[in-house]
This record gives sequence, C-alpha cells and structure tokens, in this order.
Amino acid sequence: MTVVDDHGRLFGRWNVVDALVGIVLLGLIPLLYGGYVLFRPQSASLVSIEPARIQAPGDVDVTIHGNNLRPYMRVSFDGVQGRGFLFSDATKAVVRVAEIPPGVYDVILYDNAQERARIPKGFEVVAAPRAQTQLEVIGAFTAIAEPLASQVKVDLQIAGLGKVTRVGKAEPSATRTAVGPLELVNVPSASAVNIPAVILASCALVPRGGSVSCMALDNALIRDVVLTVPLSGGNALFQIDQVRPTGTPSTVEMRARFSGERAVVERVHGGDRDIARSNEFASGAEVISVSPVARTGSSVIVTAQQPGSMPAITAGDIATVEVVLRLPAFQTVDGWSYQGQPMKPGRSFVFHGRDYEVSATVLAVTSK
Amino acid sequence: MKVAIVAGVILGVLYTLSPLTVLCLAGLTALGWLIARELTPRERAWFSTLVAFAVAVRLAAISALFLLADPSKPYANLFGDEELFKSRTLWLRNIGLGVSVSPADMIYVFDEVGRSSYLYLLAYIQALVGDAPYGNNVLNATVFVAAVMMSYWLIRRVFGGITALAGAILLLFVPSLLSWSISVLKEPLYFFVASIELLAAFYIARAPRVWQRVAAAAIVVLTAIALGSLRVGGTELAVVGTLVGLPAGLLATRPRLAFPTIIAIPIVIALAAVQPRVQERTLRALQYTAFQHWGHVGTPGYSYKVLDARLYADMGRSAVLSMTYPEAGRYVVRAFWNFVTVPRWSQIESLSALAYLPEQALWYSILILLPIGVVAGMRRDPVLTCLLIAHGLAASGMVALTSGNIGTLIRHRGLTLPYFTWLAAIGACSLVVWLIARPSSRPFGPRPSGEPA
Repeated sequence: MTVVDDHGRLFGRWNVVDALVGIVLLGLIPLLYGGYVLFRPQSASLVSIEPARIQAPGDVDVTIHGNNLRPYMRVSFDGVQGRGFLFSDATKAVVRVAEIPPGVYDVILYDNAQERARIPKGFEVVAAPRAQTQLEVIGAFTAIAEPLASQVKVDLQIAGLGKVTRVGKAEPSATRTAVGPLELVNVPSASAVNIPAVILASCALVPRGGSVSCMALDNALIRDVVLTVPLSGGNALFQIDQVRPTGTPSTVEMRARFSGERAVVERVHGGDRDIARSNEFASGAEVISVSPVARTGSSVIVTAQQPGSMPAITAGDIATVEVVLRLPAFQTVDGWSYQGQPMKPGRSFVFHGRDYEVSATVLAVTSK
Repeated sequence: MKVAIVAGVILGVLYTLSPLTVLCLAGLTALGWLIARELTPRERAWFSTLVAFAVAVRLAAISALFLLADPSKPYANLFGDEELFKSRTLWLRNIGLGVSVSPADMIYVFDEVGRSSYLYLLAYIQALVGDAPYGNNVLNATVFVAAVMMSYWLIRRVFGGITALAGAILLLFVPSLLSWSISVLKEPLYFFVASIELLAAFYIARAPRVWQRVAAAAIVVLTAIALGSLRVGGTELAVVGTLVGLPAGLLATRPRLAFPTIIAIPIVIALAAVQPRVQERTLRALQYTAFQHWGHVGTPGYSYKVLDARLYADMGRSAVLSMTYPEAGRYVVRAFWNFVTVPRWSQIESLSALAYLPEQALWYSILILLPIGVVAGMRRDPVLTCLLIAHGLAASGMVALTSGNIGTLIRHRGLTLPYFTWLAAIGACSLVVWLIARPSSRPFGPRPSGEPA
C-alpha cells in the first residue's frame, strides 16, 4: 500500500490537500483564541480618587487611579464634567475639577462612547467655612398682603436670615422698583401694605468683586436689595433701607456745609430730616441750626453722568449755608458711620429733604 | 452537508467579529447577482472580477486601518471629520438606549454643526448591530460600490457594456473617490441616494407603464428629500437636475419643440434678468454662497480666494453682504475657473499635495472628454445624457460657489464625478470607436470596397 495513492489520498483514506486544509483550519482555532485573549481590549475600571474630599470653591486637580485607563477617556462627577484628562499611564490620570458646588458625587469614567466605570459617592465637595456675622437689617416687608402680613410679628424666625426684632405700623405699599440702570421709582401695590421691620440677620462674609458682602438668602445685604423671605404659606418681599451693625447707634452732631442752587439752599430749615431710606426704625439726620445763606457767585456746574452720555451743564447762582445736624451714627474702625457711609471731615454726602436734595460736605463731627 | 457546516461555522465567526461586514457583503452579493443575470458570460466575468477586486481593495484598506490604529485613540480614521460621525453616532445611539454618556458629549451630540440624517442612520444601525467603528467603513464601501453597480446597470442598458465598464472602473478606482468610499463620511451614502435618484428620474421618462412612471417620480421626490437631509443643497441639486435634465432630454427627442425652446430660453432668461426682484434675489443668493466660501477660506489647510480683496477684510465675513453686481460677476467667473483648475501647479505647497497631481490629470481628462461624451450621448439617449449634464452642472455650481479650501474642493468635486465620469466614459469610447473607424487608422489593412484611396 502506497502512502499517497494515484488519487492523492493519504494511506488510501484522506485526500492530502483536504487534510492540509483541515489541519490549517483546526490550527486557526487556537490561533484566533490566542489572538483574542492577547489583543482584546481590557475593560477599564476605577480604583480610587485622590483627594476624595475638596473644599469649594476653587479649581483642584484630582488624581484618578484605575486600571486600563486610556488617553481619550473622560471623568465626570455626576453631571459635572471634569476638565481635561491628563493621562499619566494606564493606572493614573489627572482631572481638573472646577466650579463644582458642595455635595457628594459619583465619580464616573467614560470612554469615547459611554460610561465604563463608577465609584458611587466617591467624591465630596465641602463648602468652605465662611466667617459669620450679624447685622441689623432695617427695611420693610413690601407689597405684602394677607395672610402673609399677619405673620410679621416680633420674634418671627426667618429661615436662612434671622429674627424679626421690631415691627412697625403698616403703611400704604410702596416698593422701590428698578426702571432703568440705577433708577428706582416707588411703585404702589393695590390691596397690599408695607410693614416696617428690623431683622437681626445672620450672614456670611463673602468676597464679591473685590470687596466683601454679607450674604444671606443668596443675596448681599445692601440697601435697596429685595430679599425673598420664606414665610409659612408663601414668600414675602423685604426691601432693605439700611444695614448697620448691631447695637444702639450714638447720637452725634455734625457741622456741614450745604451748597447748591440758591433756590434749593434757601429751602433748608431747622427741623428738616434726611428722609432717604428712612422709616420709623431708621431715622435720618435732623437739621438743628442753619446759618444765613451765603452767596458765592455764578458758576457753571458740570455733572458727570453715565459713561458715554453728554454731561449736564448748568449755569447756576451758587449759594452755601452751614448747618448743624444731629444724626444716629455708629463708631467704626474708620470713625463715625451714618447710613453705612463714613462721616469724616471733607466727605461729601447728599441730604434728602422732604422736597429738595442738596449736596453737603462734612466739616466736623462731635459726639454729643 | 460538510461544506454547509463549515460555511455556517465560518459565517458565524465572521458575523460575531463584524455583523455589519457580513450583512453588507451579503447585500452586495445579492445586488451583484441581480445585475449579473442580465449580462453576457464575458461581461459577467469582467463585472464580477471588477466588483470583487474593488471590494477586496476596500476591505484590505479598512483592515489595514484597523491593524495600524493608534491605541491611544478610540479608533483610526482616514479623514478628521470621521471622528465626528463615529463618536457622535455612538453617543446618539447610547442616549436613545438610555446608556449613560459623558455630560460633554450630551452637548456635542445635538450640536447644529454637522447635523445630518446620516448621523441618525448610523446610530440606528449601531443600535441593531452594536458598536461598529470599522463596520461603518465597510458599510460606506458597500453603499458606494452598490451605487456604482446600479449606475453601471443603467449605463450598460443605455450606452452599452464597454462604456459602462469603463465608467465603473474609473469611479471605483479614482484615488479620491476610493479614499472617501471607505471613510465614515456622508459622501458614499449621498452618492448611493443620488444614484437611485438619477435612476428614478430616468425612468420617469422611460418606464413602460404609467404606474411605474408615477412610482419613479415618487422615488425622485423621496430621494430629493433624503439628499437634502444628508447635505445642505442636496434637495436643490436633485430638483434642478431632474426639472432641467428631464425636459431638456425630452425636448431633444422632439426637434419641432426643441428649436423654438432653444430660441425662447435665452429670451426668457434675458427678460427675467432685467427684473429688479430677480436681480436682487440672485445677488442675495450669491452673497450667501460667498459667505460660505469665506468660511472655507478660513479653515485649516490650503485655501484659495475668489472674491475681491475688500470682501475678505472683515473677519466676521459681513463684508460679503455688501457685494455689488460687478463683484458678484467676477466672483462667479473666478469660482468656476478655480473649480476646474485647482489645485494648479503654483498652489501645490507640500509634498502631500503632489499626490493630487495624478488625479488632477484624470480630472482634466474627464473635462476634455466631457463634450465628446455629451455629443455622443445626445445621439444615443438624450434623456439620460441631459439628466447627467443637469445633475453634474448643478453639483458643480453648488461646489464651485461655496468652496474655498483646496482639500475640501477636491473631496466635494467628487460629487460631480458620478455624473461627469459616465459622460467622459461615453466620450472615451466614442473617441476610440471613431479613431478605429477612421480610414487613416488602417494604413496597412485592406480598404473597404468602394472607399477612395
């Protein structure tokens, strides 16, 4: 018996070519499996994140530790996208976290298509401790109607703000409403009232635009700001007239020079009160005495207005008077403060009489 | 039985590796079988070899792309824009299936830039067959080859087997068309739908039964909508191509109507052109295309300018909105001149740009053969010839007026090739027949009886 017969059969049974093809095909199976095991993409996983706790706000680089990381992957903290993915090696990458609010987040790893791994609640952002302080906020619950109005009483606790310490008599509603840039107009509201009140407010000192504001209810506590105050059954509006330190103000006497158009200056009389942003709890300065009107001659007054607009030019008959004012003021590090403004000799301020406004310059301040 | 089992096992393994590849090749085989039934044995052999070779070259190129991929990237691409289609379709699919995707991807997936029905199609296909970063390449290669096969079938029926084969060889192996036919760009699908539209437009005039003509018209409408959803201007191209090409072709078969029409058309155009409203709308349309051109000039790569210099002064492109009639006239002339000639020798600024030279030579050859093909085609079948011219010119106008980047122009110029290549093939075949038939071409052969010496 020949090994390969006339028909190409091996030992008279198998065709040599068929056998070779069969062997190649059988050999391909372990080859394919080996190739699959060797080259299949390993699934990525997350092991840890470092640091796992950061303080907001601020840009922080966090290091992601994992397995089979790739340069094109991304990381998010729940819905907040991590910025960049600085691939170090298959086990480590650096991700920048920015503008992320305080909270506990899942750390989620994505490839080019979808989520691949997650560390549940693996990253915590804690709020930075803020310096807390207390201020006396004087103003009025404005445009308030029943049933909210009847809730405004002394010792009312307002969540996120503080406690009402004094409540005044209800007045016809008038809300200083913005009608243009820096333009406020008192707008009445039918079937609503204003209730003057004083709130002892707890607020956090927060840097804003190069200065520090005291924040409560997501707003800086500054005059004219309207706070949305949560009451039982709804929110009320509280418009701030004055913000001042806690405690009782001292009464001081101030000598000042009022200057302006003669016709205006001649309206200044003893007993006049500064009524700007004043209510029964935030009294303004009172004119005690007025010197005779002195004429300084004709002048041209140029008033700088909004940038880009034409300045107002007024040819005037300028006159001055010296007045003595009695006013509530707080002693601060910088001296006396009236309605939030320092009152040093040389400082200017505007006196808002009932039917006039006049510029004034501080000449001297003495405690009584 | 054994063969069936082995074939089943191999098919199963292949389907597991790439379902889309198996489905695409099965579809292509079925289409090839349908077309090959009509062919003579000799034609069938040529056709089958050509298609098999074209598919093999493409599959080899896609395999090389897969094997040479950079592992630091999710997948390899031939063109930068492919990344958009590959990633965005996966995001779209995942969002549809409720799979968590990165928040950043949620923004990009619905971005206006690059929005096309092609994205939704790929997303849907990948919802059915799974992630197919390279299967999408195979899908595009398949639809491109299928488009050539359908066009081959039509051209063969009308202009003969040699012309059809010559055109098919060109379309399957022109370097730029070959490269974008294996890319995940929208051009292959656009070419596929445009081929169906051309086929249907032809059968509006040539289908034997009324219902078939109505069905063909409906297909033209549907494909025109589909083209518009794939690419801005796609619908207009189909509408202009059909509404101009079809009546022109039908008129050419009726000399009594054709001559008055030829006289009337310039008069109508002249009358319309003097209307202020027409002038204003034309200028506004040109300002819009000039705006797009300016955008292309600002893209990375090598660009060319066709507007007057003052219109490029403003980076916000608003100056083009002040383009005057004379400026618009110069813009149109320069745009078409550049469409035909770019990249010129003086514009080749890199070694890679030299690779365009062979294709540029081929482009010039096509343009030279085009008028011969038009004349020969009008003698054989004016309807199909006019449809090819009208579609080709509409595509040329769209590309010429909006392009400004050399690389993009060459890619988009490919949109005109499916029309012009067939006409050039007709021209080439007619030229060869004429050269062979010339008396001087047979200096040593016997002269036909009666032919003067």
